[in-house]
Amino acid sequence: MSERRTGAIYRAFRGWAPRTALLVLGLMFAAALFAPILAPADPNVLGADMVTDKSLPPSRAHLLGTDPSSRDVASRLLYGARVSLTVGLAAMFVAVAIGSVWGAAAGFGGGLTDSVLMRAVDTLMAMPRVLLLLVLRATLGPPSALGIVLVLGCTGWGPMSRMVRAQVRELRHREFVLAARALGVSEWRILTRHILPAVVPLILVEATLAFAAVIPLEAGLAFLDLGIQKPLASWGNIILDGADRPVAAWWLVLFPGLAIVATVLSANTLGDRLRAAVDPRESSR
Amino acid sequence: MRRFLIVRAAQAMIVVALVVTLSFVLVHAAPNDPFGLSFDDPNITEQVRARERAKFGYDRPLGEQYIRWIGAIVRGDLGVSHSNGRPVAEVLKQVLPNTALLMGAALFVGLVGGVAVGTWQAARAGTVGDRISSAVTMITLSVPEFLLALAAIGLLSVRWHLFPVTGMVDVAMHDTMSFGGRVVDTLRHLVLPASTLALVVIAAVSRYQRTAVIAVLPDDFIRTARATGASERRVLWRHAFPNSLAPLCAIVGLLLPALFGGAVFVEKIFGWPGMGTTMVNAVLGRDYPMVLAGVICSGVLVAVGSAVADMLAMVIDPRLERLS
Repeated sequence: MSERRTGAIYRAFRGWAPRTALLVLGLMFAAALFAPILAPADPNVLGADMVTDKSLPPSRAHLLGTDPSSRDVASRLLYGARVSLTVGLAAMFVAVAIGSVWGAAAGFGGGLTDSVLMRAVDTLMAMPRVLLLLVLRATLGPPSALGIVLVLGCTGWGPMSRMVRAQVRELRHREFVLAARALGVSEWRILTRHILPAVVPLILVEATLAFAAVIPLEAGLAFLDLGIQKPLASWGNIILDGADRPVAAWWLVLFPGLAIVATVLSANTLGDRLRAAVDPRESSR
Repeated sequence: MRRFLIVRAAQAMIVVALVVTLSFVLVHAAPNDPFGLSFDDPNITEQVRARERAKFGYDRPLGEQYIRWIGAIVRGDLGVSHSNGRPVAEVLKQVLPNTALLMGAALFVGLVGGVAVGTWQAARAGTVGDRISSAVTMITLSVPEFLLALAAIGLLSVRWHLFPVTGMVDVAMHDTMSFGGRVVDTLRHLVLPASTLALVVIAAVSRYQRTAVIAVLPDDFIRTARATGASERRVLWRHAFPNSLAPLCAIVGLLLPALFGGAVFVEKIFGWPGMGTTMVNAVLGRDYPMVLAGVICSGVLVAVGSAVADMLAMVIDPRLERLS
């Protein structure tokens, strides 16, 4: 079983696309980790003149230009990567935790438990996620990083729970589970030792895709000024500074935009490849 | 078939009831209320806050508030907006058609475009054209809507002056125009925001459509069609394509919430006077009746939309009944 699975994971990384994606994600996380070493300037130091707009296009002194408070965009981008990627990862873990427990409970419980739990998921997924985020942000008071992680995580576990439920339901009636039950293994042990390990690859796939979904939402919230608050940099709130003149101050939109797209595209590519490798039903590619 | 329709309609109603209840709980479980500390005007004394709370019923027990609120909603009374004093229903009547126009146009263009692109790709799966266009759809799906909207507005409106920058009509000239002129004016304003949303729908739909068509291509009836001498084009569009429509309906149901979310950003950036803009402002101003009405509207729209999509899928492909 494990040999076949490592084979499947290996297959997912064949070709240049998934390898490039892995490389890009690696570089992003490395940039975030080593931001204090890499950043050419202090990301939060304000210019001397606070009144006039100091956003300047890229120059030799500031490779990616400066923002309206004459802060170095390259440095803010690097420090923003720390915030955006950490928030993305943390929210992903929240979604994975809730979604897999919920889905496993529904799939293994079956019957009424299953109906009740899955109607709740239907409800969650019937509400547009952006609206849920807006409502939660309105009622929960001033935004903190932790609050944003929880809000993003608690609205994003629907797809995860559906996938885990479907997989657990399918596995519940397989021979190896029947065999374990015939041997007198407890239900709890069947779930945790026999079924859940087989669901792990699927959870990995969904986690990758959940991460890809959270990054633009975090940026979007920051863009609506409902996310990470300045002076703390995030990719979204750098764009916010240039949003009212995307042409005149293009460097405030383009560079953080590229960082977001590169990260999301890489995560989506990896998720796609892993799903194709893990899920035998998707053998069409 | 009839049994399925009834069950599906009942499910949609349960989801709507849960959406209504959940949104009420979300809004009222929070430690703050519209007249709390966030309303930080030093001239407003605690007495005024208490009076306003009493006026809108925020001082009653939560259960009583909920029952009163449900009763009012059932009668069609959505309350009065805190921020501008107008009835919420009146505001909705004004902004909902605008959002419907935007989302409807995006959905229509997106579905037609997505189906065309996906079917085209499936017919030549693995070729250079398929690979390049698949990569393009993947990239499109990885760009957040607000970035797409900023790029569109920046390049096409600000830089090249091809389209108006903001709003739904030309505020200065619209009222002086003839009927035809007004329609053209609105369409000119509609093109960019609707295309931005449609682009995302095309990318999402084409990926599903490609898989769906590839899934039916090895089937026996396709071989039969080829054996009768039907041209490849006819096999693709008259035989394979209709059989990929049922899964497509299910996809539309799944797409609706995401489309609504995208519309929030697109409306905000293009200054489109719809639900999204209204919701963002209501959230910033803690206008609870407005926020609740918006969530209910979108919840109902999505629940009804996906129920209708599932029913359509069933009508198109009755075999699905045995699976459900």
